[in-house]
Amino acid sequence: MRTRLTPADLLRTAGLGVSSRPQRTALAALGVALGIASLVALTGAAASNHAELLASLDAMGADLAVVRPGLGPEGEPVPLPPDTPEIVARQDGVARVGVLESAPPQATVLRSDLVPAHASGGISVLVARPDLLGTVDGEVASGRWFDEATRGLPVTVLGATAADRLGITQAGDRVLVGGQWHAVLGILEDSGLAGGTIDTAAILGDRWAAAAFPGDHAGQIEAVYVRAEPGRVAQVRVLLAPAASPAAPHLVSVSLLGDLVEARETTDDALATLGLTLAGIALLVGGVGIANTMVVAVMERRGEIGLRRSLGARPGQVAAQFVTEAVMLSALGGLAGAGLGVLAAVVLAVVSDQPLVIPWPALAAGPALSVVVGALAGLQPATRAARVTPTTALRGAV
Amino acid sequence: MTLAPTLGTSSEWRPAPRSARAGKALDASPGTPVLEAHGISRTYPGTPPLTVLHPTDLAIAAGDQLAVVGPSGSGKSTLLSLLGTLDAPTSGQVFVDGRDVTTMSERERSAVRAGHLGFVFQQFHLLPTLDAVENVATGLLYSGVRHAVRRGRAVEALESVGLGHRLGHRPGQLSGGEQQRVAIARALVARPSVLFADEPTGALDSATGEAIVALLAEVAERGTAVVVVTHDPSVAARFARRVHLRDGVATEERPALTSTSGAQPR
Repeated sequence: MRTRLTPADLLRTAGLGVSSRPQRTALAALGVALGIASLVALTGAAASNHAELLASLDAMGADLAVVRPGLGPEGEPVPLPPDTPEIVARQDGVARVGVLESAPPQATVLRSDLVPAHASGGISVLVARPDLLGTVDGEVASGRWFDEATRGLPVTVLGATAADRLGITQAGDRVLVGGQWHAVLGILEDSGLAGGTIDTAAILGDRWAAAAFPGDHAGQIEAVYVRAEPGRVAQVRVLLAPAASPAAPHLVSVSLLGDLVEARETTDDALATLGLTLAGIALLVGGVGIANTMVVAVMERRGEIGLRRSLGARPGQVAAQFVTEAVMLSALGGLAGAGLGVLAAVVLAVVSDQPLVIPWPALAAGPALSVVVGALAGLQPATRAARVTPTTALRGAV
Repeated sequence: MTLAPTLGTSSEWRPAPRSARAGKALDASPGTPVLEAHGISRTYPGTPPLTVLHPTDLAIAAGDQLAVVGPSGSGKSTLLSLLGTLDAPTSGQVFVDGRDVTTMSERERSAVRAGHLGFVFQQFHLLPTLDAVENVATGLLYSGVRHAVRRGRAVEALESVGLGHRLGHRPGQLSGGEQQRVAIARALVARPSVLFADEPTGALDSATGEAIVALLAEVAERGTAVVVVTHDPSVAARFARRVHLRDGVATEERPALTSTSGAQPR
């Protein structure tokens, strides 16, 4: 002979406790809701960020590798051999090669001759061959890029940041480069990941640079951009350093854009970890709130508990009722938090102009986590409820 | 049907053979014994220990109407708790429908409460967010009966206490007397052998209380033994059997004509 409380009846009974005090339920669930909302929102924001990086990486071409001079024993850059571009271009799997050379140190860019020489605004002068733009998939915002004719003329193409700093918005204007007026042939679009160097540069044609700065023009290679055939960048990467400098491959720096993505993501990961820790703390505080609510509920409802015991409820069934109530409270918070979190992720994505990524794993894990939090929070109050004796109903407890 | 306070003798009590006990009960009542207490006492530990109920024998048959009456603190509620298996006696035994509940596990005792005993409290203890039918159906919640069946039987129980027209009303929409009727229906819905009522008229005015007492008498006439705890002699006077409690000592007042040897007339 034993009493029975079916799962459906348990849910019905617990639901009664939750629904009969809506305001308290809302307040108790709020903490968990905030915790889950931050969890979902942060995961969503991180995923959006990741998606944006991947998208820009794809736009730049995930198949791009960059060969730069390495650092010698004293930390000084070791110039790449002058024939590096040609040798690299011959390697298996290499589709295109673009070269960026350095200009002589005295070649500074000024808006006009009235600007003091040192006020170059951190804009570097670089020298490019016409094949560079195609290799990095760069886009011209205004004007044109170098061709066979203009690579030998006193014209310059400005990176997006450089043009901005000089206050030039379209091609046709002119600037002073190394004390000589140069027409602005074109202005580049922001080139994103690839173009840390290109964006802040005023670029001269290689033939013009050789003619304008004879002797001074070191013609040293600043960077060789290597576009690999689709899917072969990892293979190509291994070949590049030995090809560029067979004698001292360790003095050649080869990087992939993917490396940049990883570097950025490491930073993002640190921020995400911090955010998730805060979300965890919010969840913990939410759990404590629920435990508190349940303790008060048990004290207030001693009469009801005594009645249930007199109706034949076992201590375990009373405990189950209160644990289920706590889980319901928490799950309500978890669901509300998931909704709130998605909303926040959408707003963040729209505001920061990133692709929206719904963090499905976090969406599923959030409410599940809230159930665990609720069960843990309800455990102690439920044990107290189970200890209320059936005679309590007789003692005038309301 | 006996009530024999046996001070200090509980340890000497020997369970009588089942047939003998039944015979004894049948001796004074036409019903079969549904509840028997043998030498039950309750002492709370402490220095000195506090004995709130001295060893008491009591047998209750189906259809019995018994009032436990006495001043506040006399041990009325303790006696009800022990008879109703809500509390365990310090000594003695309680038999419900012939089964010794004092040796049962809490799980089994819960099942006895669910199936054999009903309780009505002074404060009604109705759940305010449930209507009358759902409140009464709660009486079957722990019996493993399906919800639809519970509701059906709750409606029947409410009709039997004269509340067929108040099925969908919540406690807040009912008068005190109606609320107590709902509580009585809840206690009866599992068709218990014994209905315990702790000061059932305590929160009601006298006219309403009168109607509740009449209802309880009606319940007893249908075969359920009714045990009422009250401090009000006028309520107790309405019951055929009266047990008086004073300082933990119980004495049964017997109508002179049916007095038997085991009783102590007042």
